[in-house]
Amino acid sequence: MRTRVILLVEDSADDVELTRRAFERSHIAHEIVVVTDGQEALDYLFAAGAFAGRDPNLTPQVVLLDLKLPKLDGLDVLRRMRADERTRRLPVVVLTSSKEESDVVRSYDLGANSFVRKPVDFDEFLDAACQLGLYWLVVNEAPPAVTKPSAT
Amino acid sequence: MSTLQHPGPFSRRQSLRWRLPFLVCVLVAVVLVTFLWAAYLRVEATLVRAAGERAQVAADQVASLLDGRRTMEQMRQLGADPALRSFLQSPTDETREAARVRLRPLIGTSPRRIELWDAAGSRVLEFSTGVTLPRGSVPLVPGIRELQQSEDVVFSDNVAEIRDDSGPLGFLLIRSTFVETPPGIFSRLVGRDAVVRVANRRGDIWSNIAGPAPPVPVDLGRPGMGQYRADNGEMRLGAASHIRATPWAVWVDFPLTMVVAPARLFLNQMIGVALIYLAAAAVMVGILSARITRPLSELSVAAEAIAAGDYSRRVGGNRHDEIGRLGRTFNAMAGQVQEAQQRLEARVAERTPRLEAANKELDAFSYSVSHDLRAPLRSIDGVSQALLEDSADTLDAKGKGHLQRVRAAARRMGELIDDLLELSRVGRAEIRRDTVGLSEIGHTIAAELRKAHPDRHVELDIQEGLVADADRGLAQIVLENLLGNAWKFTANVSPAKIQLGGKQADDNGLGAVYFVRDNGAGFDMTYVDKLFRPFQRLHGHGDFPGTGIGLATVHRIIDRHGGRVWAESTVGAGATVYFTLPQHAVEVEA
Repeated sequence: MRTRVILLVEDSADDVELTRRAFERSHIAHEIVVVTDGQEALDYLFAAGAFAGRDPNLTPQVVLLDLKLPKLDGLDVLRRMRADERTRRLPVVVLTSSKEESDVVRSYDLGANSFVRKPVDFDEFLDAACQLGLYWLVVNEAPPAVTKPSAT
Repeated sequence: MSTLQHPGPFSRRQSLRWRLPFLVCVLVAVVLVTFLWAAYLRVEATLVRAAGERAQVAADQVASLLDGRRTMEQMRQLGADPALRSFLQSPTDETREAARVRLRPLIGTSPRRIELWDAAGSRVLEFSTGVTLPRGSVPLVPGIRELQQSEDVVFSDNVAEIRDDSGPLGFLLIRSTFVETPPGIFSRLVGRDAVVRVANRRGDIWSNIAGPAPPVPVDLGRPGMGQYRADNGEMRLGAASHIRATPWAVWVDFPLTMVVAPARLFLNQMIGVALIYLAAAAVMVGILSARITRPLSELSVAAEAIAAGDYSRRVGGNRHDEIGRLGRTFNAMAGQVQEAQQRLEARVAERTPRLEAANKELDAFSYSVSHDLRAPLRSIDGVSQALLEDSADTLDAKGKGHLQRVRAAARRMGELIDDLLELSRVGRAEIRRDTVGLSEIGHTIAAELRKAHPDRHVELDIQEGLVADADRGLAQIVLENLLGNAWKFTANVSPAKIQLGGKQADDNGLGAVYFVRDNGAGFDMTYVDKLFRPFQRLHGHGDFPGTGIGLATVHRIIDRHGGRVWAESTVGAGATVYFTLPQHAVEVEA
C-alpha cells in the first residue's frame, strides 16, 4: 500500500536541508525519507540491507531522485526500479543540478515521470518544490500499489 | 572528401586515338589532291598545246595541197595562148573552133564552168559541166578570187587576162568547185574526229569541200591556233593556215574532250594510286596512334582509379620512349601518393582515439561543471536565505545587506556557469541543417520576453517570411541572445523599438543577411572588436546585467554555420547586429 512518504535520494546535506525547508514552507506534511546513495535507495525500496526489516509493500508516494550519487548513480537506480514489478509504476521525479540534454533524454528513456532542474536561486527552488509537491502529492492520481512481493 | 571533378563524358570524336589518324589522313589527302590537280593541269596544258600544233601542221598541209601558185602559172600560160589570143583578135568560126579545142580539155570531171570574155565585156565563148554553176559577170579582175556561194554550192573564180603587145584583148574565167584530190586525203591528213574547212580569209563564206558549211567563230585573218565553243556546247581546238596565192584560209579543229581525254585517264589512274597511298597512310597512322594512345588511356584510367581511392593502381612502364618514361614517373608519383595516404591514415588512426579521449574528457568536465559547480552555489544561496529568515531578529540591516549581496553573487555565478556550458555546447554540438523559419522563432521569443517582463512596452517589428538554412536549436539560441540583448539595452528608452529583419539570398551569390536592430543604449564602436569575445562587456553590471557570453555564443554558432556576424552602433542611438547564414553547399554529382 502507499504511504504518505516522499523518498528523497540526495547525497548533498545542504540540498537535503534546502529541500526539507522548501517542503516545510510549502506546507507539505509528508514524511521525507532521505537516502544518500543509489544502493541505499534500492535497499529502502526493496527492504534490503539496512532496511531489511521494512515492509516492502509500503512504497513511497513519489521518489525524488538526484542523478549524481555515490555508488549507484540515479540512472542505475531508475533502471533497477523500472525492471522490478514492485516499483515499475512508482512515480519518479528526477531532481538534479544539471540540464544536460543527455541526462534529460536518458532519464525519460528509462521511465522517469518528470525532470526538474534545481535552480540556484533559492526563491526559484522554493517555487519549484512547491509546485512539485502540489502536483505529485495532490493533483496526480497514483498508480495502484502492488501488494504481492516479487519472487526475488 | 575531396571535391575532385569527374572527367566529363568522353566521346570518340575527342579522343586523340582517332583525332591523330584523322588529321594525318586529311593532311595527306590535301597534299595528294594538290599534287594531282597540278599534274593534271600540266598534262592537260601539254596535250592542248600538242593538239594545237598538230592542228596547225594539218592545216598547213591542207593549205599546201591547195596552193594557188600552180593554178596562177597555168592561168598565166592560158592568158598568153595564141589560139585564144587570135580568136579574140579576129573572132571567126575558124579561130573560135581553135579556141574551143584549146579550152575543152580544161573541163574535167568536177563541176566547172569556162567562159571567154572580150575586152568590151561580152561573153564570147562558154562551156560548163556537172552541176550548173551560175554564169560569171563583169567586172572581171585577174587572179584567184574569193569563194562564192550559190544555193548549196561553193565555188571560186580564176580569172586570167588575155592580152597581146598592144593591150588587153579579153578575159578567161574558170569557175569551179573544190575537189578533193585524191579523195579522202584530208581525213587521212587530219585524222578522225577532226573537221577541215576552207573559207575566205575574211570569214564570210565557209566550205567543207563538198559544200557550204556553217561559219566557225574564229579569226582567219591571221594563221595560228584558236578555241571556240560549238553550237552543241562542246569546246573545239583548231588552227588556221593561209593558202598561198589565194584569199582563202584552211581551218582544222578537234573536240577538246578528245584532246584532253588522255589527261582524264591519267587523272583517274593517279586518283586510284592516291587512294591506295591514303589507305596505307591511314592504317599506319592508326597503328602508330594506337601505340601512343593506349598507354595514355591506360594512364588516364589508372589516374581515375587513384582519384576514386584505389591508391594501389599502377601502369605498365616497360617502353623505352617518352611514354614509357611518363608511365614510370606516374607510377612513382602514385607510389608517393599511396605512401602519403597511408601515412595520413595511420596518423588519423593514431590521433582519433586521442581526440575521442579528449572529447570524452571535455564532456565529462562540462557534465561535472554542470552538476558539481552549481550545487554549492545553491547551498550558498539557500543557506543565506535561511539565515535571513531564521535570524532576522539578530541581524542588523548591514548584515542583511551583505547576505543579499552573497545571494546575488551566487545567482550571477549560476548564470555564468549556465552561459559557459551553453558556449561549450554550441561549439561541440552536431549541426543538423534544416529550413528554419526565423520569423516564427522571433515571434515565440518576443512572446516569452513580453511574458517575463509585462511592465515593459517595446515595439517589436518582426519581418515575416525570414527563413534560413540552419540548425533549428542553434538558430533559436542566436535569436534568443540577440533579441534578449536588444530587450535588455532598450530598458531605459521610450518608446523602445526592436526590429528583426533581413534580406534573402539573391541570384548574385550573396547570401542572406539578417539583422536585429534596437534603439537602446548602443555601444562605442571603438570596442567593437571585443563585442563577440567571451566575458567582454561594454556596460557596467550595474547598468545592464549579463555575463558577456551571449554574443560569443552567437559568434560561435554563426561561425559554425560558415556565416559572418558583425555589429554597428552609435552610443545612445541603438545598435544593429548583422549575421549571415549561407546556404549549405549541396553536393551535386557531376
